[in-house]
Amino acid sequence: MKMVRKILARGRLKNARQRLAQDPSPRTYADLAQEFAQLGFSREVRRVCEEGLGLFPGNAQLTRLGDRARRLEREERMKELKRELGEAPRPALWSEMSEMLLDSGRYARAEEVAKEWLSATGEDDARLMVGRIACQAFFSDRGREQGLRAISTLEKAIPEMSEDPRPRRLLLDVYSRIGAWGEARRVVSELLQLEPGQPDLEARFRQLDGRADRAPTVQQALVLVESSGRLADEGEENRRASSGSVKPLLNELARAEDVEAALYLRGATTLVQGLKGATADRFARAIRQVLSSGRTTGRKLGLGQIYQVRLEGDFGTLGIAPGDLDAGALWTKSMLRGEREEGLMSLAGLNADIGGVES
Amino acid sequence: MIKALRPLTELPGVQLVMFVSEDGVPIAVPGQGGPHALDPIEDDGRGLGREDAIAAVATGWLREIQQGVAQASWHEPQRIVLRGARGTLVMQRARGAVLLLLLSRGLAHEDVRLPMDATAARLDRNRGKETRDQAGAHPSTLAETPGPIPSVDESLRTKRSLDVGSNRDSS
Repeated sequence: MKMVRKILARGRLKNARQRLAQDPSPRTYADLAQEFAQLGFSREVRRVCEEGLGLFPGNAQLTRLGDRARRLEREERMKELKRELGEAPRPALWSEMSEMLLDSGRYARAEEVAKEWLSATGEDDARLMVGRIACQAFFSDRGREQGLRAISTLEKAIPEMSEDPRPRRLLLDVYSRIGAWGEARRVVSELLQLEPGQPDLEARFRQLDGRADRAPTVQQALVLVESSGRLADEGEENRRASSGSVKPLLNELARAEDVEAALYLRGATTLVQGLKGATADRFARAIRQVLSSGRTTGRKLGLGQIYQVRLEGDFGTLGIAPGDLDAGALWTKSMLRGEREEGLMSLAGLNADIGGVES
Repeated sequence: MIKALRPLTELPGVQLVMFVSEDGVPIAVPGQGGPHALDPIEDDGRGLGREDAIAAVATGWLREIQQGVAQASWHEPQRIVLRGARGTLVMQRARGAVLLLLLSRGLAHEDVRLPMDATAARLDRNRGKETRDQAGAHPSTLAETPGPIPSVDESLRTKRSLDVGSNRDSS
């Protein structure tokens, strides 16, 4: 049976390759990637997606498939690393493992590995990794407790690595991102003692000097970040390059039989498919309110970064997938499962270019 | 009521089970399931415990959701899920109040759907019984609370067979 399936899959693979050669489009690239995925060749999936993205930059479907393939590859490598660490641990393995866990957002496990590395070797790199993980966990969660924890981890690392500017650079990043300009200025002046004459640090010092007088304390800045969910430099982040258009994916989601509406929002702009006019506006406003209060509730309850909000009632099911700077939402008549749920989750984090409000 | 909630606390991965009034007051807290991986809110030193704080935050969000969905002319949702990196909050309306669960990271909200539905149904039936008790119909205890799957009431079956027997005699 397995053999028959393999032969059939090879045939489909050949057809998908031929279709792609005849008509290179995001659809044919995605089809070929899907065929490889069914055979479990995650490296090939990633390669095809990268090739497709080279021709069609920012295509949402190819980005999603490529991300999934990378995730699978990472999981496989992590399994290998876990086995190797069990047999014969060494710093390079701890470093790679904690880096991968950090990249995949598994901060608690990353911290465990980094602490294990630190206690086994006492290396500065391990200490720095613990600090990086604490910072990343805070940037992701934006809770006050995590912020204080990141700061105290770095403050403890600084005397241990007194000649190393890296922990101070991390601390400067935390203070700058929360808007605690006074503390940031203090760290820059310490860095200037370590690296005198650095033009970027001198420019930074002058910039911070102007802001420091009106700056909130660390506690005030952290409370502000927790309640708003926004870091002080978020305005600049919002202007960062977008990953292309989200319309095809949104259209595809909204076309499904039991889908009432699909929505994508980024910053102050919203794109709604399936509803029109005032109804679309009201729907968008409802999503915004649920999303913003959900993020605050998640932080207060210590749930970490919010991945999903779901409401079920006589209206059907509303699923919201929040990203760092954007969010997707899908309103269906029935339960939200399978492909549609996957499609919804892929909307989050696209940072797509949506131009103006559309309904 | 605690007895009705107890099965939920025994599910692996369930960290907290609470039955909370709509204004955020815990009605029944049958203790925690597993150890606390989440440590969201600590006692505030004013006599408000962790459970009180969680109940207040969660129901506060519920009110905000109601206001939010009202803009889309929807009725209030019956089941609400908030999934985060470190855990999930699930709320379900039952008996005019809210059944609230905190799940650890590994447990999906779908895994607790059936047990929560069963508990909500059980709590609803409890209310029905209590209302009848207040009206002076039958005395009732929690031990008599029916389970999620309907079963035949033995006293009714005996009564029915007696009725059938008496009908036969009269004919």
